[in-house]
Amino acid sequence: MSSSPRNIDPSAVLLRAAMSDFEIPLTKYAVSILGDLEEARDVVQETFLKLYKQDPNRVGLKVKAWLFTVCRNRCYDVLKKNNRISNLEEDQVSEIPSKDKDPVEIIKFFEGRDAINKNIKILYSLIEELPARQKEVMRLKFQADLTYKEIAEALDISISNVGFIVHSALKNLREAMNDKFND
Amino acid sequence: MINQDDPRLTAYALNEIDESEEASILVDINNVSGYSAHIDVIRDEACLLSEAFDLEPNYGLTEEQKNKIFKETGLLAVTKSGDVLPDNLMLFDKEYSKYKNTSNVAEIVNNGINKKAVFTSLVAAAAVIVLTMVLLNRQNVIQHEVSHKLSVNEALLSVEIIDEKSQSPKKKEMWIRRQIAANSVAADHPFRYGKPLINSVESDKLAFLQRNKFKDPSTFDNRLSFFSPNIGTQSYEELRRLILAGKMPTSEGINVCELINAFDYNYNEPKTGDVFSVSTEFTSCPWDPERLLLCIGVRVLDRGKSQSEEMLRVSNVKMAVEFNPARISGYRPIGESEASSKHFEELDQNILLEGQSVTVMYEIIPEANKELKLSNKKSEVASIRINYGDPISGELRSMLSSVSDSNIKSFEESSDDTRFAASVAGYGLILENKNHSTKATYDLVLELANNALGKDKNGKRSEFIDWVMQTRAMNKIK
Repeated sequence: MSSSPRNIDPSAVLLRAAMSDFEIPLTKYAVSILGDLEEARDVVQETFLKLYKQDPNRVGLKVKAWLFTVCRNRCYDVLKKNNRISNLEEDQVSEIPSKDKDPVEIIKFFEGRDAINKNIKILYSLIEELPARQKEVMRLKFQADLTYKEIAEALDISISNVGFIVHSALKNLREAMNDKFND
Repeated sequence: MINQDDPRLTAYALNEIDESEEASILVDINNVSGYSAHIDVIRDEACLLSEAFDLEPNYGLTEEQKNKIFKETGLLAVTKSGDVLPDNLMLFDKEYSKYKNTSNVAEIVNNGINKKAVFTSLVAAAAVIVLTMVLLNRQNVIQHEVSHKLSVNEALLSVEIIDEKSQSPKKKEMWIRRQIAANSVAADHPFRYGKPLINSVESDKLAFLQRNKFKDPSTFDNRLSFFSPNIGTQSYEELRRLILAGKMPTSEGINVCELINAFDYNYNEPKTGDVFSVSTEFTSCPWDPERLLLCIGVRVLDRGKSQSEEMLRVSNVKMAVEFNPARISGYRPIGESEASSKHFEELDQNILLEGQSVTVMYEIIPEANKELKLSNKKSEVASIRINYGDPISGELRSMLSSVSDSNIKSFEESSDDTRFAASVAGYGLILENKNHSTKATYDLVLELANNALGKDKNGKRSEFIDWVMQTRAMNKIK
């Protein structure tokens, strides 16, 4: 044990932990909005740097929602700046088709992985077909593992609204899967 | 009264229900038939959705970007042993966001258990958070080899301090979540079968599993079963001593796992280029038609070295089985006991030498009648992950092998090795049979062992048969 302990910076601790826990879900989320990996990475990097400047005592309790909110806002800034959208209300923003990588292409990437179930791939393609808002909420819930409350904060909607969206999306997917298999 | 199409039912299934509403919804769930089945469906779907998103590549920052962050924030000058940690460690769980440790001094421990442990390693060069697997033993979190040895000096950062004594279950869960990366992000180890549930679902099934000491793989704590790469064989000597002294062996003195590992098995050589071979046999269970046996044999490569050469050492070996909750409703490692946890402290757990092998067995209750809406033909029932340090380069590597239900054999079709190991397992289960949780009998064990002698080069298997007969005789007298 070292003889002279140093104090370490709580902001560094927060950032370090946030990076280890959220780097990938944040990047995947940003990719889903921007449809571009390079841009997404830049946004995530900025998000982390911004986190470091926050008061850790204030952000610490809800860092997850904070990160996704900031990341999301930055994504839309980028879209606006690049004129991919202009002066639209945010709800409309979500309806703009993103240039998401073709899901089939992503799946091909994993073709070698033996145990990927065919149905999971179909499910993935069906998620892509959901309405934009449902798609976003599903991603935050099941990919980034946010709670209803955190999603509500990140998207600035009510918790019960989140619950309704998740519920509807699940129902849509269930029906779509049934259709696929009853054909 | 809620109806099946109520978002609150979905919220409940996803553990998202508001506390104030939970009680009233529970009443409905318990009273209306079909609701709990519907909740199961939603939970399965949640797992599948996570899996679906896991199909995507794990996009992350580039090394350059991470380094820029480290540079701009001074994060490279992070904690080392003895540093004073901030008063409020930031965790991402609201209830524990201000977990306070008595001393708040980072302490890198080398002697394993019952100490505060600091974890998380940051390889500045590679900037990967290295997966540190933990050994879970019953209620306790046991952590060996607290921090991964790094090539970059002091590139360690303390994120959280664990004091085992003051650990609540929730706290423990948070810690494990980070360790094994439940968010599928911290390390490259997403769960293969969807994200586990945080808590068990109270049900008849769960009650049945608990009564029989089986674990439910749908939950976080039980999705992975860690097993020691280095299981001793002391119990074999102990059993011989007891039998020679005419004393009845007990499960306290004899660890079945060690007993199983005292025998030689003919596992395949690792393929060229591989460090390990993993042999699995998945068979019906001779003492219970409703169960299955999974026998896993791991063998380290053997170079057939000459005397002068040094033994090859595989370090940092962590092994875990992940069970697929869609196919398995419960599992029980054979031979997990308090006795084995004591040995854990004494042995160098994480090292395997060339030519060594490990055998573990699980009793399994298959998921019989569950109909998965979204995926009804999943073939993988379990996967075995071995993380290890390459014996030559020291690089951390990982190897995965999977067990699918198409591999299930009848017991008679399985190898001599598996059938013999099963007889030893059956013997162990009889010894620990306090609550009559096994239907294995001495006669059955003898029959199994007699039919599975194989070549028995060192005569150990025959010796074991003698011991079983003597135990049976002692048991009759008693």
